Amino acid sequence: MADIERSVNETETSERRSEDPEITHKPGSPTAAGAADVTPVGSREPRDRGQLLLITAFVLAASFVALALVVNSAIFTENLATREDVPGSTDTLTYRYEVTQSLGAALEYVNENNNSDQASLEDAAKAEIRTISAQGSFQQSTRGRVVNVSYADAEFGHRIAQSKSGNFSNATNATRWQLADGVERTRAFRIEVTNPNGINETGETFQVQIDDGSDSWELGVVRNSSDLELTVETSNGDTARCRRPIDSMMTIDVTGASFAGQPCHALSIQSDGTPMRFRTGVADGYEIRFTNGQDIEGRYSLVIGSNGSANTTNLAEPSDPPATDGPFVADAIYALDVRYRYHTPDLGYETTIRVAPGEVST
Amino acid sequence: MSTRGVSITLSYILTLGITTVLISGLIVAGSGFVIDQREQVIDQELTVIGNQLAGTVEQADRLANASQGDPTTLYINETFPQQVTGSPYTVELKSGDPAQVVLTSRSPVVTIRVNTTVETPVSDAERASGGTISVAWDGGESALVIRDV
Repeated sequence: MADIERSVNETETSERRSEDPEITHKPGSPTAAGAADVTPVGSREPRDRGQLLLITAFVLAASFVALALVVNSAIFTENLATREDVPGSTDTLTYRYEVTQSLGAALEYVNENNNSDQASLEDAAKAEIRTISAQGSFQQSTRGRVVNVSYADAEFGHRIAQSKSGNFSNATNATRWQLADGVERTRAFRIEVTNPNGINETGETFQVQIDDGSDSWELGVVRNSSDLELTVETSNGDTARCRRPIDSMMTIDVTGASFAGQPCHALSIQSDGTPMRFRTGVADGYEIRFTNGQDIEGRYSLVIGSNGSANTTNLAEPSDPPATDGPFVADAIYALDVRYRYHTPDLGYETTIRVAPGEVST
Repeated sequence: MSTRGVSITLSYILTLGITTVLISGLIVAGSGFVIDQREQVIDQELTVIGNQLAGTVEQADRLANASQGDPTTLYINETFPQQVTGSPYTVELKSGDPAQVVLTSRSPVVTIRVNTTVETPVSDAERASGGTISVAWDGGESALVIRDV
């Protein structure tokens, strides 16, 4: 109440002043505006000259606001710089590799157990793919990813193997014989030696010969006192060796270039250091031959591609129970093509994966 | 009196003149500073975006490469600011050795080039302009492209 009364009083006072010509007007100055002309200079400064300062203040304020926005952008840049990769993008290939490995193992199982004909191989492979896809997609869905694996195609071939330990002779006990001819691709060629101590040091020793008619690639197995030695001779005459101390059973992974569980340089590098692999220097359409099969005992298995025929006179058909302890040939899937789909909110990847475990890349 | 010998008009002119010079100096310096800072920040921001994109391009390259350069579908989307410090910008992928991610802001014009190491071919047939950017495989071109989502 006191404030209101005071303001009322002030208004009255100012009205009274304006009515009094002696206070606000000089004689001869009819308007209020004219009164400014005679007001002392010093008293007018604060009222009129502030404009320039005010405008400057506004301009500077605006530029400070702009500066704040710029600094804000700079801070956001820091945030942007510390961002991770697109979520899930690194797992795309990891999971693809997992799928390839699982399907590789499944393919080996199918080739060994469902090999009566191509149709049953294909059905079994499709079933395996469905299982792997279902399990994988469930697992990945918990991490916000949609994954699907489906059958696309299969390349049929033949699996040549001897699954009971014995010497490496053919079905009629010949020790120098042809396994297959006209071969273009071989994968998963493994030999398990069960008599390393019984192998000759010199003379008639076991050899795997890959020959296209003009060039050859030969793998020899000899004993060197208490070591077993691999000798690889390529078509250019280069010979490389690797040896391992004798164990009760020793595995030679011919296409995987390992011997007794360790990498074997004789199967992957020539003596001058140039890279080499199974059948380097031999043209497509080669034959695979065993020589001196009597000198070695054990098991072996290899899968040849569609371009290549197993020598059926030297090999038996598989039967259950096996009719023979010797070598046999069966239908097999050489390679599987599967469609791989991987989706996250920010990433899409669809491709065809080729599954051919133990295949030598050319 | 202190104003003797100086006319009121001259006093006005002197005061206003000096004030104007001082104030305009302040404004010019202030706005120049802001413009400089803006350019620097745009430069930094484009560099960061360019490096992120170069990484994404390399990742897409690895995926394409794993499919022997023939994936059915391949895209990686990444979200960036629509503008850098108030300026729109474009992103292009230039083939060459090495391939480069080229980012250009419109106003002020700042161009940043970031090298990216790829084994699959890249194509500059398409370009993106901020926001969500997609590094994708173009089946027709058989190359990696950058495009808007």
